[in-house]
Order: sequence, then structure tokens, then C-alpha cells
Amino acid sequence: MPTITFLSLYLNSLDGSFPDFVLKSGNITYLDLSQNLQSGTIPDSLPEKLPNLMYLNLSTNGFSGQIPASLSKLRKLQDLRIASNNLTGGIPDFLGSMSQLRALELGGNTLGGQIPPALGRLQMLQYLDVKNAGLVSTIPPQLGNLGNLSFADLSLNKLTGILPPALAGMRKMREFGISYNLLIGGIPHVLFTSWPELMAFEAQENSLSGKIPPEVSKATKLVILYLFSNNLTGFIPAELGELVSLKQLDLSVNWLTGQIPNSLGKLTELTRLALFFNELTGPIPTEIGDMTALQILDINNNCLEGELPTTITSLRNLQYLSLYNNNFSGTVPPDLGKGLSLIDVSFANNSFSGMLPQSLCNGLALQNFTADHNNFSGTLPPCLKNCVELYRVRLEGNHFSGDISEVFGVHPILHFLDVSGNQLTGKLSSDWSQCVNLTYLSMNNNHISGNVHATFCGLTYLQSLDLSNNQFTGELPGCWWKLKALVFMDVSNNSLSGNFPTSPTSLDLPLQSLHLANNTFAGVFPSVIETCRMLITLDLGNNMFLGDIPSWIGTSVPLLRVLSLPSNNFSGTIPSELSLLSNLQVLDMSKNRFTGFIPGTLGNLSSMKQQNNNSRIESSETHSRDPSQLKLVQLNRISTFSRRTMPSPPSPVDVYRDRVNIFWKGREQMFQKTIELMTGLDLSSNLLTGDIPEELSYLQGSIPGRIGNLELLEFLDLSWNEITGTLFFLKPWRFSFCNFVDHVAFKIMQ
Amino acid sequence: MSSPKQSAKLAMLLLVALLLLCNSTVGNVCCSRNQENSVDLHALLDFQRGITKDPQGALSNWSTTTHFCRWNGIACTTTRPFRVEQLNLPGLNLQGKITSSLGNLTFLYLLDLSYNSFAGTFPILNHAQQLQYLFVNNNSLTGIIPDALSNCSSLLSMDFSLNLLVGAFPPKIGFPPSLIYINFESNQLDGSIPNEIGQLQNLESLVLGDNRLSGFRSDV
Repeated sequence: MPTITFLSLYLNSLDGSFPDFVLKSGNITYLDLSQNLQSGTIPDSLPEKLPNLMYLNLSTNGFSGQIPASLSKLRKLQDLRIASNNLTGGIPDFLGSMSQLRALELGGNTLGGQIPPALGRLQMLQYLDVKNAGLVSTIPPQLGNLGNLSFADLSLNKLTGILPPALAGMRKMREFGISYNLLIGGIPHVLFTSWPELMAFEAQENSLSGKIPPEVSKATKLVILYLFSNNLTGFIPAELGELVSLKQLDLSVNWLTGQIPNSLGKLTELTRLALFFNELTGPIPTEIGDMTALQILDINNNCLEGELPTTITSLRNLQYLSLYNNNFSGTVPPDLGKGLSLIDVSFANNSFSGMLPQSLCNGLALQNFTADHNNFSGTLPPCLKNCVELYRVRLEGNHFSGDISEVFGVHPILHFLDVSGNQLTGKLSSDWSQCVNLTYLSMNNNHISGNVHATFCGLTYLQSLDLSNNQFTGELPGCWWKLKALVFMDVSNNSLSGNFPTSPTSLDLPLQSLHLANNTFAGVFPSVIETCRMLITLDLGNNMFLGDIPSWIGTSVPLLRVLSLPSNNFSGTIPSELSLLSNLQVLDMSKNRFTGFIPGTLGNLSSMKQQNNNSRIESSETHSRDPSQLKLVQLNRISTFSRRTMPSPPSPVDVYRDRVNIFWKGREQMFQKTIELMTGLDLSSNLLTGDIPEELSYLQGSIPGRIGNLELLEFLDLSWNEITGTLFFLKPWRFSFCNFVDHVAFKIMQ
Repeated sequence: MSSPKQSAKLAMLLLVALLLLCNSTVGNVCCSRNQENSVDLHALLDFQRGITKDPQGALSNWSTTTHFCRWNGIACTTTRPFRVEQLNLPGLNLQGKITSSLGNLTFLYLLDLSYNSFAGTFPILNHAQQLQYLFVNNNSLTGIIPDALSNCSSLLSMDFSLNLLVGAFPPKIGFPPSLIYINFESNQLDGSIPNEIGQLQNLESLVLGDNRLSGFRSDV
């Protein structure tokens, strides 16, 4: 095409190598082949064939090889854009000699290598993009000579060293990005005093240290300031309040101390304020109410304190309010939520008290709401019932009261709900059947009553269900095992009765932990257990189960660690198959009606004999283990790392809390998370006869592998039976409790 | 013998009569050239009938009670015979189709129907030999690239961007060699670009971005 000067073919399906037809159009000055499927190298002959090129855009293709040196012959080329290709071989030096260049876009290639200081000679350069180019380099101070540069993106490389103060020479700088690198040292204050046009400064995800320079206020046109995820220390400078054009301020994940300056109230254009994961102290200033454009206030994980100022309710545009993990106290202003469409609110882990604002969810836009671990009381906001966008709610560990069915309704997206440890009353409505995405549901430790409906069975994604410590009555519905995703189930401490539901199929269930204790379940040992190959903990204690322990117990639940059956009406003999359970650590069959002998094979319980490497948390001082060290352990919930302008993805479901109540060394205790550390065997209060098997009788120290040495056994209770015999204890022995009331003699041997 | 007053009155009367006659319905006065006038008129009326929606009332004064040269969007030659030179109706949310009758506007040199919602295919303009500037970008035109633009032997600049054109360039594109500027950006054209385009001796700008073209015919 001999006459053509302007040729635009961007965003088409051009494939193959550089089009020959184009190379035959020698008068082209503007050539755009970007966003195609071209491959091969950029022809060496390009400059010779198209000598008049002023604009060359080959970005977003598959060009490979190096940037040809012949390009330096294009003396008229002002725009060179070859980003997002497969080019290699580094940024060539010769580019620095193309003094007419105004725009250079090379990012998104695996160029590697260093930034040539020669680039500093490009006096006309306005636009420089070397983002994500695999560069391993320091930032050459010569780049400070680029007096016309207004856009520079060096992010997503492996740039090391400091941010050179010489860059202050880029007097026309408007948008400067060095994020996601390995830069160290301080932020030179001279940059802000020398760049009067600066609108965006992005230095996040580096290792920058020192203070935020108060001189930042001299860059009066700043709209975006991102310094997050660095090692910055010191106070937030009050001078930031002078940057009245600021729309986004993110200083999160640093080591900032001091208070939130009142002057930030002057930032009337600010839509997002992110200060989370720092060490800020003091209160939220009342001036926050002046930040009328604010949509996101993200200040979790600090040491902030005091009451929330009532002015916070005048933030008409507020959508995200994240205050968790601080020391806030007092009542949340009761008008919070009126006229707003709050989407994401978290008060969790503070010392708030009083009632939640009843208008909090008035906008019916709430998606994520956490208030757990505070001292809130009173009723929950009734608007929650109509928040159909809810996906995560945590209210546990407060003193909330009221009827639960007035708070929750149909929430089709809800996947995580924890209201445990409150004083909620009422019954479960059939609305719960429409919360079909629930995976985690904890209502334990409330005063909820009534039946557990058949409609519950529709929650086929439910993995963790805790209804324990309530007043549920009636039977579990027969369709129960439609809950085929259940891993953790605890309905203990209720008044549930009837037979435990069977599974209609023989398909394996993923159930790992089943707690039915302290109810009035009846019938035989639950047959569903046979399909629970992953079962680790089974607690049926304090019910009215009867009949034998099936012999398949030894083979169908190979991972079982805790088998707790006390206070039932189980009868028959203790199956010797129990000894096949190589992971069994706690066996409590006390207070039943077992007869016959104690099987000698119990001496084979290998996890009570020797270390099972992949299941124990072992310290080196096991021999001097003090029983008082076996404390009740609270799970340490790791706060979700909020970095968002959009709602964060659902937080990972907490590690399943495995716990068991056992009559441990004379006292009933609940153990949580320290299951791995316990071993115990309680066969007390049965009708067992015969001798203590020889295999159990030698409890020795550190000779591994010997049959009969349950050396890791921590307690042994054989009381209230009719067994006889002698137990020999050899020092050192790991456990410290032994209950042989009245009927069994023992000797300690040196 | 009439007084001067009476002569004046008569002259006035005659003048008024003449004026009345000249200002009567179009084409009836100055009637010796009404053939050419009525060709443009009928072409425009046909075009008006092709428009199904005119939400802004852009064509509300397009009626036979006024001369078409006074219609909104029409510019005529400045001397007789008054022929339509420009049809300018951009950005008026017009819906309907573009009628082929516009091809009868043989004096038309500028046709701008851009930024509307015209649908259907672009018609063959049989006699638009004077057409230099054709702007129908930002509409909803469908079908393939018209292959009979060769009749528009004066065409310098055509902009069909942001429409819904599909298919490949016709085998014989028949683009007039006068063309300087061709713009088909943001359509759904596929196939390859014909080499004939390279033979357009005056072509300076070829704007084909945002389509599904696979390359140049000789390269593929």
C-alpha cells in the first residue's frame, strides 16, 4: 500500500509473523497492530522498510526474541509500544539514543536485566512503562534527567536499593509507580517538593522504611497515595490533611504509631481510607464526619480505642466499616446505618457494649457483618432478616438476646454464620432450608429450642454444624444424611431423643467429628458410623444407646482417635477389634454394662504405645509433663486480611474444633485442640471380669516396640469392675493418674 | 386616464399577485425546473418514510408545505436549480433504515447520519457521483460491506465505524480510487483484507481496528 500513512489493525485476529503486506507500505507513519496473535520476531528490516514510522504499537501479541538494534534507525519514532509480548534480552542501551522518543512501553515481557542509565538521555520522554518486565536492577539516578516524564511505571520487578532523591528532576511527574519491588530506605521528601504536578504515587509492597515525610503536603494535586505493605514507622503526618484532592489513601500494613490526625477531616474528596495493620493508638477523631465522600474506612488491627464518634453517622457514602481487632469501647452510635447502604461492617474483637444500632442494615445491602467477641447486648437489628446479600455473619461471644427467627430469614448466599455464646431464644424456622449455601453454622451455647426441622436436610454444602448447648428437642429428621458434606457435627447438651438417623446409602461420608453427648438418643450404636471412614472423634456419652459395640468399629473408622461412650446402656463384650484402631488415644467406655474380659489385644493400641509421627505435637519435656499444662485451649482466629475496595472473598472456614469432655483424672474437663497430647483408657464402672491382661500390665519407660508397653498411656481407669491382678509400673512413666479404687492392687517397681 | 395613485395601486396589486403565485406550493412556480427539484424531493420523502422513530422531532419540518432546502439538516446549492448538497442529521436518535433513494441526490457531496440508530444494510447509492464524505458511524447497520460504492466516484472519506457489519470484504470491493480515508473500526468483519486496497492510489488512512480480521489476503 504505497500511499498509506495511517494503518490501524488493533484487536483483530492477525496471526503468523509480522505482515509482509505492511512491510511493503513504506510511507506508514502510524502503525497499530496491538492486541493480535502475531508471533515471531520483530523484523530487523522494519526500520529500513518503514523509515517514516512515528508511532509503532505492537503491544499484546506474541512477538519473541530481542528488541532489534535496528530500531535505533527510526529517527522519527516518537511512540514505541511493544508491551505484553514474549520479548527477552533486556532493555537495550540504544533506546537511550533515540532522543525523539516520547512514549516507551516495554512492560509485560520477560526482558530481565537492568534499567540502562542511558534512558536518562531521553529528554522528550513523557511516558515510560517497564512494569512486570523481570528487571533485576537498582533505579539509576540518571532517570532524574527525564524532565518531561509525566508517567512512570516500574512496578512488579525486582528493583533493589533505594529510591534515588535525584529522581526529583522529573519535574513534570504526574503518575509514579514503583510498587511490588524490593526497594529499601526512606521515601525522599524532595520528590514531593519537586513534583508539583504529582497526582498518583504508588510505592506499596516494598521494604521502604523511615517516616512518611510531612513534605508530602507540597504535592498539592495528589489524588492517590499508596504506601501500604512497607516498613514505615513514625506518625501519620498531620500535613496529609492539606492534600484536599486526595481520593485514596492507603498506609496499611506498616508500623505506624500515634493517632489518626484530626486534619484528615479536611479530606472531603477521600473515598477510601485504609490504615489497617499498624500500631495506631487513640480514638477516631470526631472530624471524621467531615470526610463526606468516604466510602471505605478500613482501620482494623490497630490499638485504637475510645468510643466511635457520633459524627460517623453523617458519612452519607459509607459502605465499608472495618474496625475489628482494636480496643474500641462504648456503644456504637445508635443512628449508624440510617440513610446508608452499609455493605461490610466489622466490629469484632473490641470492647463495644450496649445494643447494636437497630438501623445498621437499613440499606439491606449488608454482605459481611461481624461483631463477635465484644460485650454487645440487647436484640439484633431486625433488618438483618431481609438482608438477602448476606454471605458471612459472626456474632459469637456477646450477650445478644431475642428470638433468632426474628433476626434471620432467607439468605441464599449466606455461607458462614456463628451466633454461638449468646442468649438467643426462639425456634428454627423453615427459612433455614433456603440458606442453601451454608457451609458453617454455629448456634451453640444459646437458649434455642424446638425441633431441628426436616427442612434442615437441604443444606447439602454444610460442613460444620454446632447446635450444642441449647434446648433442642425431638428427633433428628430421617433425611439427616442429605447433609452429605458434614465434617463436624455437635448437637451435644440438648434434649434430642429418638434413634440417630441412618444413612440411606452406603456412600462414604466425610464426617470427622461427631458429638451427641448429653441427650437422650436411644437405639443401637449408630450404623451411619460405618460409612464415616474419616471419623476421628466420636462422643456418644450420656445418652441411652444400647446393644453391642459392632465389630466393624475396628476396620471402618481407621482414623479414630477418641471413642467416648460413657454413661449409656451398651452391653456385650468389649470387641477386641478395637485394637485395630492404630490411632486411638482416648477410649472411654465407662459407666455402661459391658461384660466379659478386657481383651488382651488392647495392649496393641499402638498410639498409646509409641509416637505416631504425623499426629502429635510433642515437646521435648514430655517426661516432666505437668497435668496442669493441659489447659483448655482457645483457638486463635486469624483475622482476615482485608485489602479491598470490593468485598473480600469469604474467609476460610475455621479449623474444625475438635473437643471432647471426658472424666479426666478425676475431673470432667473439656479438651480442645490438645487431643493430640492425650492418651487414656477408661473402662471403669462396667461389669468386666477376669484378669488385667498381661499385655496391659507392664507400663514401662522408653523401650519402644515392646508388646504390652502402652508407654504413652496417660491415665488408666479400671475402677468399678470385677477385675483383679497386678500392674507393674516402671519408672519413668509418662502419666500421672491411675484410678484403681478398691479392687485392684498395684506396685511400683524400680 | 388613471391617476398616479391608481397606477401605483395597480402595480402593487400585480406585484402582490405575482408574489402570491411565486410563493405557492413548491414546484408550481419557477416550474420549468421542477423535474430536477422533484427528484430530490421524492428522494428525501422516501428517506423520511424509511425513518420509523424520530424522538427529537428532527424531521418535523420535513413537509411539502416548505421547500426541501429549508428542511432541517438539508443544505442546497446556492444557485438554481436548488439541489441537495448536504444531508446532515448526526446524533438525533433516529431509527429506521437508510433508503437507497438517497442515491438519487446526485448533487449530494456530504452525507452525515452518524450517531443514530439506523439499522438494516447500507443501500447501494446508484447515482451519488458527487458524494465525497460519507459518515454513517455509530449506528446499528448490519450486513456486509457494500460492494457497489464504486458508483461514488468522488468519495474521499467514509466512516462506517461502530456498527454491526459482519462477514468478509467482498471479493471485488469496488472501493472508488478517490478514497483517502476508510474507517471500519469496531465492527465484526472477518476474513482477510483484500490486496485491492493496496491499489487505491490516494489512500492515506486505513482504520480497521477491533474486528476479527485475520490478515492481508496475500499474507494469509
